[in-house]
Amino acid sequence: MKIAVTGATGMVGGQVVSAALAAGHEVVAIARPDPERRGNTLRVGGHDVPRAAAALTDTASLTRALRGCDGLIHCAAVYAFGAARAAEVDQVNTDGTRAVIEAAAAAEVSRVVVTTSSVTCGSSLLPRARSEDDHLGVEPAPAYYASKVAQEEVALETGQRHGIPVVLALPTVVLGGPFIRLAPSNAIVLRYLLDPTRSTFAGGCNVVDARDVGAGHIALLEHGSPGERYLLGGEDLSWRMLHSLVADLAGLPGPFAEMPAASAWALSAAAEWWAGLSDSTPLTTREEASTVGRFYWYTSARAHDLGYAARPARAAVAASLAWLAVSPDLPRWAREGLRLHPEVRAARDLVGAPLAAADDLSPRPRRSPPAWPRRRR
Amino acid sequence: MPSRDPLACVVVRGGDVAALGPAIARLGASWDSQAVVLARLSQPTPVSAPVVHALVDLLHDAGCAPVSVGSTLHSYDRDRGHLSVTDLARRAGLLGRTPRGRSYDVVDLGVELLDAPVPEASVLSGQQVSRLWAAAGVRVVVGRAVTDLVHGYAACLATLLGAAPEVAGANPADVAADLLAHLPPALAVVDALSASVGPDGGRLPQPIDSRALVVATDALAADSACAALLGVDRSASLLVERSLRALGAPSGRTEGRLSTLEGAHSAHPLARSAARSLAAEPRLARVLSAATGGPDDGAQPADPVLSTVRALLTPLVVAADDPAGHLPLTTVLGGVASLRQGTVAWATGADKATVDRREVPLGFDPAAYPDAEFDGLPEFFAPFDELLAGLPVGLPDGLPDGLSDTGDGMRWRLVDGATVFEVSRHIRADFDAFVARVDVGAGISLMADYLGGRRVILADQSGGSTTTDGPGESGKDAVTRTRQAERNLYLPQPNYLAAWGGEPIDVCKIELVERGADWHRLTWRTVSSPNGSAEFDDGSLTFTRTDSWTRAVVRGRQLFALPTAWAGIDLAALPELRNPLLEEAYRRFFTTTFDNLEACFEGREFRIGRPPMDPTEPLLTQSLDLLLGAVTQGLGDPPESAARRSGDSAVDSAVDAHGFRHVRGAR
Repeated sequence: MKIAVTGATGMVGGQVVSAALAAGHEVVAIARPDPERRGNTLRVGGHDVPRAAAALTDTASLTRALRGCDGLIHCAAVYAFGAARAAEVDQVNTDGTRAVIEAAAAAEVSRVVVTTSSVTCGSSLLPRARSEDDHLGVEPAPAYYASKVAQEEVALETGQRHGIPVVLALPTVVLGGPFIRLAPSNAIVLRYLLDPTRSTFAGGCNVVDARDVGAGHIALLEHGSPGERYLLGGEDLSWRMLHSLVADLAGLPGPFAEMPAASAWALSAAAEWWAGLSDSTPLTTREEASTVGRFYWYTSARAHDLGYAARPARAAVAASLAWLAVSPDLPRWAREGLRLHPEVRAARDLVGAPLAAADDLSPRPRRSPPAWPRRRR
Repeated sequence: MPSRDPLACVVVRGGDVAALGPAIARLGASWDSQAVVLARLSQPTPVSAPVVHALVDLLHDAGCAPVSVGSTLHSYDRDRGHLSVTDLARRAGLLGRTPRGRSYDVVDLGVELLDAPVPEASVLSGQQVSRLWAAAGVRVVVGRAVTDLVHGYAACLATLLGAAPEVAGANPADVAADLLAHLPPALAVVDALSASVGPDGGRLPQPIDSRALVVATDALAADSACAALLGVDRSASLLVERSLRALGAPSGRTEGRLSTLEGAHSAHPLARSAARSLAAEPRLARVLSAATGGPDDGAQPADPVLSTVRALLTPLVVAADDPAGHLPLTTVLGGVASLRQGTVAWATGADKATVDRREVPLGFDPAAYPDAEFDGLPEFFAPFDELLAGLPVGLPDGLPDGLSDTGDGMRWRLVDGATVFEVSRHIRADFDAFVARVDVGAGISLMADYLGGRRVILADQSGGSTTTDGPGESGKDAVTRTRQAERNLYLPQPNYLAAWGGEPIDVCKIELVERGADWHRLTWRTVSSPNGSAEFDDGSLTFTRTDSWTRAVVRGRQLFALPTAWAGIDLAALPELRNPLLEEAYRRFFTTTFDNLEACFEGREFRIGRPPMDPTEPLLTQSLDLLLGAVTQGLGDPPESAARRSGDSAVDSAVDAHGFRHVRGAR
């Protein structure tokens, strides 16, 4: 099958590409036009895959890019919390999805999988696993959650309107890599690494390894029922259990005290204030903090029936740590304080750099460029 | 009994410029080609024009033609508002013609440059020097006897630095030593006809009627004599001290009276020590230099912040002339130096990206070590290998199957007070792919906290690497061996020692690189530590092929000096404290080292630090002024510069090092 994947440079999209290739499919990566990127291929997970440039808002370009493809997996989305990006989240996640499915229909693609999120199934105050039959209720919901609910509605409605089968993939908290930009899921792990108080929260979440989510998407494309939602999750964990796993695998103490939701909100407010001052992205937001105390636990039984399987939460956390350890998001001072468990080192395969000229082998530290106004005869 | 050494230096007392010719004649030197006179032009105490003119006349008389006189514009001059060598020369009275009518060219030696003709071991290797200076048949340096707040005094070596542009990240003392070693002047003259004395005579002139001249065939001898005339230990100058260490004491005898000049005095050692501590940070050194004395005649106006600092600092330096008056200056400089030390300690522990990288020379002569010393390095380290082989490896408990070989196992023992250790990691990369990307020969520079250094691959006696049978079981494992010499600098270890004044670890090593089909190894032995930071730092780094991966092993014997503040603590008597501290320090260092090896394999950036200060970058006070201006504007002030607020028009007319005038536009 020839599969087009949007968002292939993201964590989930990249793993979808790898899983598709591993399953013997042909892959085309749909990426937004980037004047700085040259060539017709995209390096994803150690593979060079054909690349087609098209913006999510450009149906004509998308149609051209999708022509000849049998399936489409639409992973491109904005995964962010906070009022600053609310409009962008809504536009990309709903309008973009509509445009992509319309283009897929025009290009006569036979099946579409759209990546939404488990948050559309809502959350509970009690530790109870929710399923695809549950929906987001009246609980506190960041704009991102609402955008995902809207995305599902748009995807199903557009698919129905154009007669194209659409399957919805609902990953839970996806941990691992590779990633270019830090997503809020891996930021959960990062926050603990940077937290000097090593504190935790009430409530919990379901974590899943990005590799399993990638394979799950392929299973849904091949076997999923049109119009159905499929949760792609792993293990349900309390925040304390998750933080304990992080601490154990990173060689850190804790977790100690369980902070109340108000503290999380206050800290998030401080983080947003500082990010505003320093013109950076906050590591957490008040919107995200509003979810503290609830249980985002889910069952993936429906996907299991299609052959989907997820590795233990410990492996997902190990993968997250392995990628964070080589990410610039983890400051050097924090990285040097970690005592990473061998499982973490084993969670990420090393990929050798392209062989350079012999002179570049283990180069010496770069000298500062000459600023002197030099003139040679 | 009179010395039989050849005459190298003549000190003339009580004379005038007319004594120059006879003094040179006594040295027996003869020249007859293109001559370059590198003269101290720095304001406010340039060399006196009569001395230079007399020298030019003598060179012409000796048959030298053409004769050029000049220097290079350095940050010292730019920071004090001087923008051209020609202008400095004019202010020094050097206009291109001597009173006797002999003409000479006034040149900016920094305009035409060439790659420094120096060996790889030199800090100037890969840098540029003045083409005129390098090509001159006769090189002459003319300094002036002045005292200096940081160095005690300055004469020929300080002037010699004008033969090359400043080298970012390099200690000027290393540059001076290498210029002296590889592009030395044939004649060195110290103009002490009117020495400038006091706490900082170079910047705050206090001329005395000293009527002395020093003429030498060796700049080091000339500076040694100048130090004696000024009543200062010659090694008070870091430039001279470093050159003495690199090249040895000047040979030849000095003729003439070396008693201290009447009225000569310099900064109190305490004030000098505080100034030197502050000047260890090159940005602060520039501010200190620019803010002492001045403004010089004809200089561009200083920025308002520099003007303010100057108004505060200069009176303190002037007052330091008094036997007790140096205390305020010492206190202020010491306070700033302590703040600097605090920021260095913070950067070392928590913000390594802001530590300046270093450029250094090799620091020793590898030719002094016969090939057998290099080739015998594995045998030298063999007893430690045997010791380590008998120790258990510490690994995390309860590892799942298959993961026990991915841990960074460590084993160690103390031997003669030194830590003998082994750490290893199985790197999840094919051996051939790994060694194609990670050169074991560069292994030292891949280690954690590497600040900089120099590695020189040595030619074999037969002209290259040797290929011999290695230790393979079949005897067929062909091994190439390469000898190399290296100097490396690391952040203080453990990093927190920086807060107690710990210095970077600075060690010079002889090394042997061996490459076989299934293993690559670098073995090293420390031969010296220029700053005394290490007694032992010997070891090996080995990459070995395993079934599917690569095993990296570091073995070592290390004993580093503790800062003075820790000298009273006998850690050996407290194993309960020492052992966890030691293990944690090694674990951190080598975990990061192995991470660096993996990053190098993957092509990721891993090095600490930032490029060192570019000598052409604006003075710190200019940056502060811009910052203050932005803050003031942000607070709602009318968009006028700090200069206008202070009644000074400096910023409006600020001109940078390249001669561009900067103005702040309306917002």
